[in-house]
Order: sequence, then structure tokens, then C-alpha cells
Amino acid sequence: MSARFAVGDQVRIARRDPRCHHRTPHYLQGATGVIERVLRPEGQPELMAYGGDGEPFRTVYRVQVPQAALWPGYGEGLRDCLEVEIFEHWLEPA
Amino acid sequence: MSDRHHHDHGAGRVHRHPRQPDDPEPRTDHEFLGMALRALLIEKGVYSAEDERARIELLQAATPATGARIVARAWVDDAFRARLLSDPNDAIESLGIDCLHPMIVVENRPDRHNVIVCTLCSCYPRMLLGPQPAWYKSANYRKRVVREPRAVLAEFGTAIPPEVEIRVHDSTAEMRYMVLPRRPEGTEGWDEERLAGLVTRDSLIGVTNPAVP
Amino acid sequence: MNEDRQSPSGPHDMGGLEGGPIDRGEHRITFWEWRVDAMVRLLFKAGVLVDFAELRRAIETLGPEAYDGLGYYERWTAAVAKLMVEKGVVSQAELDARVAALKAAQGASGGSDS
Repeated sequence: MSARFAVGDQVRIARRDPRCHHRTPHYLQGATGVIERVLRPEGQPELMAYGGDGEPFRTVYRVQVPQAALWPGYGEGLRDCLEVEIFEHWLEPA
Repeated sequence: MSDRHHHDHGAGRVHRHPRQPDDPEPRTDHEFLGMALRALLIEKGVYSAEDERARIELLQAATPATGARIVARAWVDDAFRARLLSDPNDAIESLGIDCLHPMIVVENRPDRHNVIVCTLCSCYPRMLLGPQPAWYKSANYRKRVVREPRAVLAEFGTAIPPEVEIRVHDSTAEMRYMVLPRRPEGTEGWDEERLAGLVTRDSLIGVTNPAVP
Repeated sequence: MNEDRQSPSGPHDMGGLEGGPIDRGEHRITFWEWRVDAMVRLLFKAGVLVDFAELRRAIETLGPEAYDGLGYYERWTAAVAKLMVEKGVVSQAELDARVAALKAAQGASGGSDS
């Protein structure tokens, strides 16, 4: 499976807030970040949570988001950032 | 949430004796439910009492001493340190330790401090660090550390200068995370065992730094 | 960005919400909790549970009151019981009957103590 994004790509984390199980924290939905690392494809949690096999697998990425962009008025530590694993189907080019 | 532990004696039972921490008798409704389920699963042959005993032994054998041993090796062996960062599972398994999970090890540097959380549940490298501390599972830690890491670290007595970058790792999916702390000054010439004695559970999560007592 | 807004996905999705001081007190895992911990691992080993996502989903749908009010292993217990009934490994009636029997047995032995 080829990964859609590469290290350094700008991406936006989709804002969907589905009522089902998923692994994309609410506070990060809508945020823009950079691909820090490309991990391997994994089963989709939205399907595996209900007994499915998770197919088709989706590549997981580590996305780096600056804290200053997440929290208005973030004080000290201008270079502070947050890193999180996001599945490919939750990412859009930014 | 998990840091609030209820002892509501939901069964309406009158306690006549002080209880020991290891007392296997259920107390709350959920404890009764758990033990009822356990008994049924064993009766149905899903697992045996012997499987349970062996698994509890395995779970109890996992302690932060394992993580500390890995860190001490990285502090004395640059090649191992490089491998631990680039291919953590391979490096850790070379010490005869089974992680059970794909790992990422993040390195503290003079200009960068790392801290780990799982905001959605309590993902944690159990085999390397043992059970999560109650605070790691607590709502207050999970809510706050992603938003105000400096204030949270200050509560743990850890002051990070403003020019040092803080990276918060929200462990939400497949990987498990461990911090490789910085080797404290004044430990030149120490052997691995002595160095490992400096590495605490909390420093492997990133809320404190190892220090020479 | 999403500050101070409850997540529509559930009470577990709490990153970034306002919180209070962190209680750093240590909790010693009880024997009961070790048994529940082992139960979950053994259900995976037996292939009855397939992915942690199932357990997470079951925990996340316990409802906000249970999520916030129960201890960590109490949530695990409630979630695993729900999944075992859902998968037909045990029936709700079997479970209820066994809980009642355990309570009765303990009540009897407790009574004889005095």
C-alpha cells in the first residue's frame, strides 16, 4: 500500500466528530500540522471496534501540530508542539 | 474517573473485619460482576484458573525497572542509543525484553523535553513500565497536559525553561511511547546498574527528570 | 481551536478540556483488579476479543455517568461483560444469576463471622 502523504507534507486533520468509536481526538480536529513520520498501515478503528477486520487498512502518520495554533493565547514556549498518530482517512492536504 | 475509587459496598454487606489490600472477596457491584464473569469464563473453558495465575504473574513482573535498564544501556552505549531511537523494538529485544507492542522512544535533549499522555484512554508501555500510575489515567492529567504542559510539569516539580521546546505525545493509536531522559550531570564513570537506579517511572513518562540524589 | 467544548464522541475524548489539580497519590492494584486485567489479556489470547478497539468502544458507550464515576477496572469489567453478552459467550441471565449467587454466598459467610 502506498502512503498518500510524505514526511514534511502539510495536512489538515478532518473535523467529523462521528458518534461512533474512532481515535482522532476532538481537540485536534480541524488543526493543521506537518507529517513527522509515516508509520505502517493498520486496521481502521471505526470498523474494528464493532468486530470488523478493519479492511482496507490505512496508513498511520505521526502529525506534528504547533501548540500556539491549537490554543489561542498559548503562553510560554513558542516552539512547543504536539505529536499524535492519525489515520490516513482522517487527513486532507493543507 | 479512574483516580476516584469507590468503595460503596454496593452489595449492602456489613463489614466486620478490616480488609487487606489483596483480599479477593468482592465488595462493589462491579467487583461482583467481574468475579461472576471470571467464574463463568473459567467454567466454560475460555481460560483456566492456571492461565489466570500465570498471566497475573507475568503482569506483576513488568515494572519500571525494565525501562530503567534500557535507558541506562542507552546512556553508556551510543550505538545502542542510536538504535533505540531508530528501531526501538529491535534494540529493546536485543536486551532480551519483549515489548509486545510497536514502540517509539523519544529523546530528551538540552533544547527539547518530551512528555507522554493518552487523552482518549490510558495507552502505556505496560511491559516496560509496569501498570500506569493512577494520575496517568486521571481525567485531570489527560485533559490538561496537552493544553498546558508547562503548568502540569510544574505540578510534578519539573520546571522547563521557556527556550526549551516541549513536545507532548498523545498516544492515541498503535504505538506505545517511552521517554529517553537525559543522563544527569555528575554520573561520569557510573556503571549501568547504578545509572538505572536513577531512572524513575515518572521520568520515563516525561513528567520528571532523573537526578542524582 | 476546540477549547472547552465537550466532544460529541463521548466523555472519554477529554484532551484540552479544563481540569483541576492532578492527584499524584499512588494506587496499589488490588487482587480483584489483577484478575480483571488478566481476564482481558486472556480473552485476547483466546481470540474472543480481537482488537482493543472493541473494548474501547464498549467503555466509551457506558454513558457519561459510568465513565466519570467508575474506577478504571470497574469500567473494564462493565465493558467486558457487555461484550461477552453481545458475543454470546455468556448470557445476561447467567451473569445476573451468578452475581446473585456470589452475593448470597458472601452474605452467608459474612454472617457466620459474627
